[in-house]
Amino acid sequence: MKDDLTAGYAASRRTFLSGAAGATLTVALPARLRAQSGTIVSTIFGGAFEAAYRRHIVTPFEQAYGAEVILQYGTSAEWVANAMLNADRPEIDVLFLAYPDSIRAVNENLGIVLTPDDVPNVSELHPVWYEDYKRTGVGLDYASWGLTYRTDSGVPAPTSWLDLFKPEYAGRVIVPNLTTSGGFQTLVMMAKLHGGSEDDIEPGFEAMKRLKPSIRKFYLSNPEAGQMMERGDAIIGAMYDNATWYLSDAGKPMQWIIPSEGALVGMVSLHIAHNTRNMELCKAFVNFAISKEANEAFCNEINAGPTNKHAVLSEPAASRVPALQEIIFPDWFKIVEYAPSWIERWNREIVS
Amino acid sequence: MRRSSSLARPMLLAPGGLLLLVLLLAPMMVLLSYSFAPGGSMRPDFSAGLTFENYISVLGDPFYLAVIGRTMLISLIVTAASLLLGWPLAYFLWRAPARWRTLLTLAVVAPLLISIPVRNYGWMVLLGDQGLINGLLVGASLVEQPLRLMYTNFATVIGLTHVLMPFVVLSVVAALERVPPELLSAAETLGASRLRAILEIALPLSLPGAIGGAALVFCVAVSAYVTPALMGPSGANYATTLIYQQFISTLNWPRGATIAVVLLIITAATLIGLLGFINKRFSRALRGS
Repeated sequence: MKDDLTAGYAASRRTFLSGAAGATLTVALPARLRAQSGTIVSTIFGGAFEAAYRRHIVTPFEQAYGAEVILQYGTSAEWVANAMLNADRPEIDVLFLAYPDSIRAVNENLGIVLTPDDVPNVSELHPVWYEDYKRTGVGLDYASWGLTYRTDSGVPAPTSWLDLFKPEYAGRVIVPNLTTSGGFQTLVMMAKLHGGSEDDIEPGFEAMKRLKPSIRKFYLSNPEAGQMMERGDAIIGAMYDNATWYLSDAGKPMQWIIPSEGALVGMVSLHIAHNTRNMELCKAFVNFAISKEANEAFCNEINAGPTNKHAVLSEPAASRVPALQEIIFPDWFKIVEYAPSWIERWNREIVS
Repeated sequence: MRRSSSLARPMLLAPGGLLLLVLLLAPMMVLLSYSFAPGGSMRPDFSAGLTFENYISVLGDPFYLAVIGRTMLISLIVTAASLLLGWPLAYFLWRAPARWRTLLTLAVVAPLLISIPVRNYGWMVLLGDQGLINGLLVGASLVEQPLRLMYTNFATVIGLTHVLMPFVVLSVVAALERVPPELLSAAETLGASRLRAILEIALPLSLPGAIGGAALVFCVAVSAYVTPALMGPSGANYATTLIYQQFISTLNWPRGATIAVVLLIITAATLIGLLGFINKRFSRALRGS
């Protein structure tokens, strides 16, 4: 349930207002209170992901350190906006972010450099989950971006990204709107499959235009995708693996596959704000979250890929989570740079 | 004594006024100022002075104008549908025997007790490709393929009308409460049909309530976010979803602020124009009768 744009649509207008107009009002907790007790404020997406995060990371940390971790709901984009507007007196001590907002945070230098002296466990991370954030953030877990289909739909199972174009699926295909991490990954993948790249996105747009008649809806969030598949509004779509396993484990006739051209990846990461009042506790929290034990337990529960090299997955996660070698990494720094112009073009050419 | 009573009014106004000033007017001013900053950033930079570039790019772009136009059209349709469906319901409530009225009022208000996403999800169950309506239509062989009801502007209209109609019903009932029921009986005694009595007595006398309700429906429909996002077509096709996208995805706060200001001005103008028109017609109709 990465980049859950919605955790609650109920909260959408409220969060929009608070994010846009009154960012300083979002955390009602007085700063004085936070500084005195051992309390840090972090962020989280709601849903199954949150329950596992609390069980394996937050609660054990609180018990071990006698501290309190307050988790704020919302979206990555709002948290980055909040961190930028309140850089001098951060309201969020540890930012929990997804692509593309985590890369925006790196570009805006919102996180301190996490050295092995401060956060010893960074030396146990796969370098890609540390160096790619320019050491100002660390990956927590990865979810893989591939294809989900309804096994009871009576049409052949997909094997390739290009199967989305097959007439058998016409009108019942879903891919994300170009606002979530998956939306950017799908567009870039389509460009690459048709001879383009992040720098040459034209073939991607051409492909999406051809795919458009087959699309039931360009969905807004991972929960919405799951619901559309569950209701039968769609029978195939580009989705994250763990969002699919969550549904198939609950008995829904759904399967996730790694397309022959490769899966892409969604990562959530932790970043410590400059000027936080509780720096040592923040470092301890990040170190705890990426420790072998916490990483392993957390990833096993949500069928996600661990970032700690020593973490070992058990079944069923072990056979479900693609190895790093099976994954294609797009250049998120380029995506973030091009995103505004891509979105404006997408508005006009694809969804309007 | 006189002095204290002259102070009483401002003191009564102070709490509400202060709240509006701090929570509504101040953020609105910030938003307004953003719309005059150079676009493309979430940190407005006023060092080069104010600029109209955002207004030129928004008002000169058929895409943005189409989104705003679509929002206005959908909101007007929702307002009309709420009036057409809500007025008869309100009349029925007003005429219902006293022992039924509490129950019926509760039934009308019930949707307001349920959060908007939940109500929208209810519609998805009905309107979905494998939903109840399509199930019946396909099952009865009336259509071969399920109708595309969800993720359309039609679905947005349905969802918003359901959510907002109670506002019309409640304000029309409140207006009708002040009409003596004997007026209708008198008209019928004097030879008017039931329908004529309703159209010429109950309807005009309830108009202030209907107008108030319609204004509420229109304003809330224009600023609705959840229903167009969940039930409407793909992408940022409604003013609110477009504004959200400008703030959250493209991080172009000045442009988002500009669209918000333009939307506010058009909404206010539409509302004032519409209310003025109806008011004039209404007062003339009353004088004439």
